[in-house]
Amino acid sequence: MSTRVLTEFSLLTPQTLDEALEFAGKLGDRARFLAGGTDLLVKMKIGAIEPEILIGIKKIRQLRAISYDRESGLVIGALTTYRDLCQSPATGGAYAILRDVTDIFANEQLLNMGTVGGNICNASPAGDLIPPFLVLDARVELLSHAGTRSVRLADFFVGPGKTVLRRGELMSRVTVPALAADVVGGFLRITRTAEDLAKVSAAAVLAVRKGVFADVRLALGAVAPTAILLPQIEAYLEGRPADDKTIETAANMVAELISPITDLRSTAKYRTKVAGIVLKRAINLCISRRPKL
Amino acid sequence: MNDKTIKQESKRLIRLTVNGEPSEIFAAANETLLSALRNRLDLTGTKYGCGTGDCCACTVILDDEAVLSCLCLVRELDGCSVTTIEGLSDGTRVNPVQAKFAELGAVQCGFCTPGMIMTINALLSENPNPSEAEVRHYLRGNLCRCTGYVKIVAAALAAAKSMNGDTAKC
Repeated sequence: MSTRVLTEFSLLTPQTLDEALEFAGKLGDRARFLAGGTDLLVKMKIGAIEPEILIGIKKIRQLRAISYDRESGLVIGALTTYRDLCQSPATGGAYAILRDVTDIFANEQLLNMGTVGGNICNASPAGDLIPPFLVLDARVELLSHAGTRSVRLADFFVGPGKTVLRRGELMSRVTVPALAADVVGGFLRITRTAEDLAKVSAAAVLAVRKGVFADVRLALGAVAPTAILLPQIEAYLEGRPADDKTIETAANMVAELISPITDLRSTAKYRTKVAGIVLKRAINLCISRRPKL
Repeated sequence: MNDKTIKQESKRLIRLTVNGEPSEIFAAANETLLSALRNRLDLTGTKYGCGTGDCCACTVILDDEAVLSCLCLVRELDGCSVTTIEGLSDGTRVNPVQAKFAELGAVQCGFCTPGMIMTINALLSENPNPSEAEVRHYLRGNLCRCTGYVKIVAAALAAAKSMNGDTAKC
């Protein structure tokens, strides 16, 4: 299979959201939505998938927007690019965790092309935006010709590349509730080179109040069939002193909670060994970012 | 929607502005921007490296942003403006980044050079006075398999300096 040629397919380019949903509703499994193309077209080039019809949605401008207010929190349209994400004033402060993703992103060109909705719907266990959005307690809005539903991101993924998206459904936006003023977040990952996918990634948001952990949410990527939250470790940290001993104990709990595989990027053994360390670093990154009193 | 409606969509006239000139391409769905530039418009300065977004040799400027032309479908670009390496020079004078690449010998086999130069131009339009670390970060996706990047980074910094000098004189 040559990466030079894309096998034939039909391309529809709806100009409005209604038109896109109508196409998707009528075509069902025959069609797939195309956003930034940085995952889908690569998969087609290497022959991993051969969709009959693509529905290109780039022209639907209303899907590319970011806004923030106390009431609705952060609202990110599915076609928002990584570049939009790192440049928007809405992703400052506690949402800096999203800029951690764009800071280490593969290259500048893909920042301009890849989209938030694409990264989430691609549902890679190693998708970089997924652990941050999980710890931010994001919800996704799914539209179809039949109506709209809102799903917790934690309930969205079913397995590698698999989600609860139904036939004809389009993710239109991601919403993140407003955070308490003292909550901080951080994301990091281990890769061989900058352009690789993560071997292991970790995201954390938390606050430290009167010396103890509060509002802790933790997630890991690339160590299970989907990115996962770690409620057991969150519960352990909650109310315990924010010191090295507590963090070390938390990190040691990780190995029991994950089910990594061996693939071309890493081995299950290595992932098991480093996942706790990466989580510890994410927690410490949060602590280093606490607002100065 | 029936299959006939879908088929009718199979080729379409796409209007692009390429290096400032209007351009019309009757494009099939699976035609990438890279393929259209090289095979239809004879703009072979833009290189085919990996085809999968890993090497950045095919970088062009699409509506003021650096993108990978191997992963853009022409059919989605109706009305867009594209600048390739050929569009940086007016035919007599080269772009300052090109000039510094030549002057400082930042070219070895030359295959990555157009992508490097397009990416550096995108950097300098965002950040006219980058540090060495910023240049290296911005170029992290552009692979060169001949050199150690030292002269490429030096050329980017020298170009920034010469461009800032020009602005100061205006």
